[in-house]
Amino acid sequence: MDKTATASPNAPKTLIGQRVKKPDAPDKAAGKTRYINDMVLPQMLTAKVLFARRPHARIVRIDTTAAAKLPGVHAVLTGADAAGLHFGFVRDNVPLKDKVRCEHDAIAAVAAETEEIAQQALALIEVEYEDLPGVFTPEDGAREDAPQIHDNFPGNRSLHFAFKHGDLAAAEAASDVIVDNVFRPHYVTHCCMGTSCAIADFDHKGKLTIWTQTQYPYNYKMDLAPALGMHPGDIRVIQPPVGGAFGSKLDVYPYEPIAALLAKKTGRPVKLTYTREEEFRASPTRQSAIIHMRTGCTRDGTLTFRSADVLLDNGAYTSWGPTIPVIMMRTTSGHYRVPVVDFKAQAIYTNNPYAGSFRGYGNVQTTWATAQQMDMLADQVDIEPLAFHLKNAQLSGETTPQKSFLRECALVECLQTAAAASDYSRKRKEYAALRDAPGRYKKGIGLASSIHNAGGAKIHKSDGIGTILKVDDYARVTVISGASEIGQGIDAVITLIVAEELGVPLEHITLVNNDSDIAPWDVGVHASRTTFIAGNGTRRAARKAKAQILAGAEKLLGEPAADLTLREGAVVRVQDGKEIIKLERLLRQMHFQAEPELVMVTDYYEPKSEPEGAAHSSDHSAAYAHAVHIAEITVDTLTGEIKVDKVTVAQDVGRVINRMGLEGQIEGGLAIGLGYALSEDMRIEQGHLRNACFRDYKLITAPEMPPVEMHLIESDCAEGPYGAKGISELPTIVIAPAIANALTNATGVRIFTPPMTPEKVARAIVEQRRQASAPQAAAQLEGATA
Amino acid sequence: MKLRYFAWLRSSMGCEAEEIALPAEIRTVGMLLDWLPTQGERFRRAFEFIDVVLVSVNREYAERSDPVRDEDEVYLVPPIAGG
Repeated sequence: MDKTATASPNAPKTLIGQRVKKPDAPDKAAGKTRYINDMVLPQMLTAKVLFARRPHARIVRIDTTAAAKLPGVHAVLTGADAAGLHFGFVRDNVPLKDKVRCEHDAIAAVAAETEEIAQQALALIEVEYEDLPGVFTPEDGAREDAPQIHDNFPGNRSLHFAFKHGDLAAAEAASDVIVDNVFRPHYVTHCCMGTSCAIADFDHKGKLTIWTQTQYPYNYKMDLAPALGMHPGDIRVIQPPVGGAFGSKLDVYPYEPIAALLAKKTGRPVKLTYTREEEFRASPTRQSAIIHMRTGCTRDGTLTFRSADVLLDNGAYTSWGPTIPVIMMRTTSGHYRVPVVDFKAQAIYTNNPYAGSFRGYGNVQTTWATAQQMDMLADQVDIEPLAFHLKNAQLSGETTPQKSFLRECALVECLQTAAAASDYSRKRKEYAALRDAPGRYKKGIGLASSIHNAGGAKIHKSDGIGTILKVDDYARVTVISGASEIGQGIDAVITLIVAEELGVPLEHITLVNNDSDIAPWDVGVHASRTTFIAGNGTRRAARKAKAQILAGAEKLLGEPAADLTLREGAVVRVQDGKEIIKLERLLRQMHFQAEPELVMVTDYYEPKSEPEGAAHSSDHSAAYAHAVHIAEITVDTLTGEIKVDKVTVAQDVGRVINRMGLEGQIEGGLAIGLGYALSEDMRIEQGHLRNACFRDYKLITAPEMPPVEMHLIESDCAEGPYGAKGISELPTIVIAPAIANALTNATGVRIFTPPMTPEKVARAIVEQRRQASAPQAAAQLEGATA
Repeated sequence: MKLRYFAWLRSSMGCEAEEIALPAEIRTVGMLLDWLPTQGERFRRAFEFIDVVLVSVNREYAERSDPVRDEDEVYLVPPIAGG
């Protein structure tokens, strides 16, 4: 990172906006962290899964006799042992299958003393399949004569979503220009460094403890229960440190109930860990999509409408991937001021791997389309793009067609800041003029923006969080929070807020947030919500504790509570900062007195947002935010390679809480977005993943990260903690179309299907040249003939 | 009254939608959610955790205290997760 700038300076002597290290960073850096993958329990067995490795088949016969007899094997389970244990959003999945619907279907599982024995046992399982015709594209799946993947989902039709606002026909008629394109966002996967892992153990009462990497422990219990035929109340979820999640752990996946079923069968703890290859094949993907998008505007550059007709490859089962239209439609209707909207999406079952949640949930795919069409429209009406964007940018106080209320909207500031910092308009004009000049290497600059929920998303009845906070006799604070830590840094944010409110050192604060039997309820880590929601919950709890402490001071010391505050481990006078008493002494005096008092408070924070609802017309987030990315690239027109020279980011963050964490989230989000844009691609052919390893699946790593210039715009969100907004998904969402727009600026080529690999770009350049020269050649031929 | 089911409720109930005759004494969403599980084993099993489900009456989000009538269309939508 080259530079960080902030629009408004922080008040002195506050921790808010400072750089605070993650509490777990030293252990992680020193290799002392014990991730779930490192855990060993006494008497623990190791599980392995037999995957079908074929996309669609009937299981004619399965014989586990030899495997079960192998010394060291404690249990072998098949689909017969999981009959009726339907789970998933539409209950179309079971832990172990009696019919194969995708290549990573688990058809048997073994628990053994060692991994080697379990692996040997898998080899002894005899399976006879009858392969069935497969469906490998949503278009094929929707055909009348397509093979049926699930008997109870006729026509292979899965989820459907729709939203309409305004008169589309009239808006089209009023448009001077309409761009009409089909975008095909592709499959990528999360690539967590810690592969999927679960450890399950039952106690004598039949209660299950599951150690897992889940991002949503409380709703997880309800989702796991039907996969085991249990009551959710009999499940305890413990979240050890995890090596990444990024949305991939927002649902129950078969390995988790399989571990539990084996633990139940054997009466011993069972651990199931995916290998890297299994992780590629059997963990969820980002949802692929076919987006037919149309956007119109008048000659003066005013947007008139946007429509999107989306076809989703559901894959074999329904996880959260096909639910992304909930957010896709928000971007379709809310990315710039769009008066008329027509959105529909249909998911179709196929025999491909299935998608789950992934950072940017639906918005990565939609912004890939909307941000490119904004660039195209600007060119078609011949308006300088920045001016075109500014003309259609919403302002504070506006409401989108879906009733998202943009109370503090900083889109204009983001656009102006990023454009000025990168000299966008001048460079874009200059590079376009040089496009056809001689030379192999071409420069390009591209601007893209997007909008995302920044205060949670009320797609559950409650988007709230519970917090318990206690302060002990030594002024050590324990926060028991529902907020899960998956590496994103809520541990640092919570401790920073407690230190800010109670005036205690950061190292005197302990966070307990990884055990569903201890910590109170929370929706989970998703929707850019945790700093916003848990930040508010923590602040409210800390302020309750502070009020109790200051009331105690008033009672014991006779100083009015209103005149006191907490600072540097002491009770001090507000007026002159004079220390009245050390905090820990006061706490002991409050405790050991005639009417003993401990400082223990609880809080449940519910954001002011409205449930999504069936009509998709509600203010479903407590805040919304924008980001603008400007990508500067060099294109090798011979090889098609794109080198990203610099990225300028301007993002509405509400207010910076932990500057180091925020910068890290933007950098990390960019890395995921850059991989999506340039290199990551799951090559799925006839239902088989062909590149299940990091040699053939190219992540963006440190050497490929471009310089990033960050501008953190502080819009001061009225509902957010200290004014903060959620920030973590926008960096992933915006970068790919910024690069696509830069590619067009450099070469004239536009790519609709990411990633923009060298091969794809080079082919597009060659094709463009061929088409450009074809009329010329035809004219020459015509002249020669004449 | 028309009941429309989504996601796992659809699978659990075995249909996308169905008509029911709403007794006159059922006047609110809360009363409806308390009454439905008493209407047979299929309802009892599917509605065991009905309190987490989002309810819309005539496509508008509804709380337990909101009124319902026999001519209403009621959507029952389980929660989903995000990114």
